[in-house]
Amino acid sequence: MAHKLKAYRLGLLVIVFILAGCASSRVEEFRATETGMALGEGLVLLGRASFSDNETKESFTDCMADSLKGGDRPLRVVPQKMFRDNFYPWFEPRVEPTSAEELKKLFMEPGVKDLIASSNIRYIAWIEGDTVRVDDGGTMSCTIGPWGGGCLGFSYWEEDASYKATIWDLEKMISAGQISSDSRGTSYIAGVILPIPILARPGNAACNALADQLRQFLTGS
Amino acid sequence: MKLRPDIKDNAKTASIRLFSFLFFFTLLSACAPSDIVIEGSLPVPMVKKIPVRIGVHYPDAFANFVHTETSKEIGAWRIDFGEQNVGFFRALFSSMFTEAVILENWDSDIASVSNEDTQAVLVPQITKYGFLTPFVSGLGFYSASIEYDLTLFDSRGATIFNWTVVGYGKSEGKAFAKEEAVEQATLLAIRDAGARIAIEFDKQKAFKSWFDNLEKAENGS
Repeated sequence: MAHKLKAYRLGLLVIVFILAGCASSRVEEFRATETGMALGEGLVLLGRASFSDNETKESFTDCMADSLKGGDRPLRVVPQKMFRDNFYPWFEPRVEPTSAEELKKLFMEPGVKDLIASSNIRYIAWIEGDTVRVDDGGTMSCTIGPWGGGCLGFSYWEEDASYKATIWDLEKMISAGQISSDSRGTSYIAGVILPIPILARPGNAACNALADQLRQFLTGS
Repeated sequence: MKLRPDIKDNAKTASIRLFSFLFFFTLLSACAPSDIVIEGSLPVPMVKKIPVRIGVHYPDAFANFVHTETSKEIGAWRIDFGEQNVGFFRALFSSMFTEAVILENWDSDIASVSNEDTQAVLVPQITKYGFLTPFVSGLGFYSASIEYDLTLFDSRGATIFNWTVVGYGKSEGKAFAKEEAVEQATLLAIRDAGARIAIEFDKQKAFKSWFDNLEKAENGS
C-alpha cells in the first residue's frame, strides 16, 4: 500500500514537471542613482502604450504589481487605473511624459505636484515590452462528432518575452535607472486522443524576474 | 457487460440531441446582433480653468448618438453612446472653464438672444465613429476611434474656430465578450479625445487670439 502511494506521488510529480514546461530568463540592470524607499512610500507601474499590436498588456503590469505586493518584503504599489484616473489627463497614452524633462514640466501644472506628494508616490516604473511567438511547427487535428471526439498529432511554439522597466524618481525628478528581462520558452501539445499540453510561460517568468529585480533595485535588498 | 438495446438507443438519441443543441446554439449565438449601450465611468480632468464663461450646446445628433453597422465580416452592430457622451463632456467642460452653461435651444443665427450671457458658445459634434475587431484588423485587440468636431462661436454667433479631435481606444478583449471589448475600446476613445481637448484647447492659435482680444476688451485697453 505504501509502495503504491509512493509510486502514485512520484508519477504525479513527473506529470507536473512535464506539464509545466520550462522558460529561461536573463535580467540586466542599469543604475543611474542611489535609490531607497521610506516607510509608506509607494510606486506605480505604468504600461507604456504604443497603439501597436506589441504593447505592454495590462495583465503583465498586474502580474508585476501582485508580485511586488507579496513576498517577505512587500512594497506599496498604487494601482495603475487609479493613478491614471486621479491624474487624468496627464498620464493618458498619447500625452503622457516620455522623459524626466517632460515630467518636470508636468509638475508645473496646477495640482500635479501636490497630488503626487499627498499620494506619497516616490517612483514611477514605466513598463515596455511584449510576449511574441518567434517560432512554431508541427500539426495536430481534432475531430468531434455525436459519438465522441479526439486529437492526433504534435505541435510546438516558442515564445519570447522581452520587457524593460524605466524607473523615475519623483523626489529627485530624474531617471533612476533601467531594468530589462528576457525570457524564452517552448510549449508543446501532443494529441493522443486527448490533447496533452506542456506549457512554458515565458511571460510569467519575465514578470517574476523583473518584479524581483525591481524590488531589489528600489529597496537595495 | 452488454447494454440492453433500448438503453443503448436512448443513449444514442440523447447524445445526438445534445450535439444538435450545442451545434445550433453556437450558430444562433454567432448570428445574434450585437447591441451595446456605452456605460462606465470616466474621470474628471485636473487642469487649470480657462477664465471664460462658456455656453455649451449639445446637438441632438451628439446627445443621442447611435452607430449602426452591418457587414459580412462583423455581423450586425448597434452601438448606443447613451448618457456617456454628454455626461463626460459636461464634466470635462465644467472642469476646463470658469463656468459652463448648457444651452438647450441654441442656434448661431439667433445666438445673441439665446446665449444666456456667455462669452462664447461651444458646439461639439461626432463626425465619425468606427471600430475594428481582431477578425477584420488581423491584430490581437479590438479598437475604436471617434472624430469629434468642436466649433467655438463668439457671443454674436460668428465662428471663432473649428477643431477636429480624434480619440482612439483599444481593448484586449476576451473570448465570447466582443461587445464588452468594443464598449471598453469606445470608452477609452472618448477618454483619449477628452485628454487632448483638456490639454490642447487653450493652445489653439485661433482661441488664443480671440481670448487675448477678449481680455483686452474687458480690461478696456
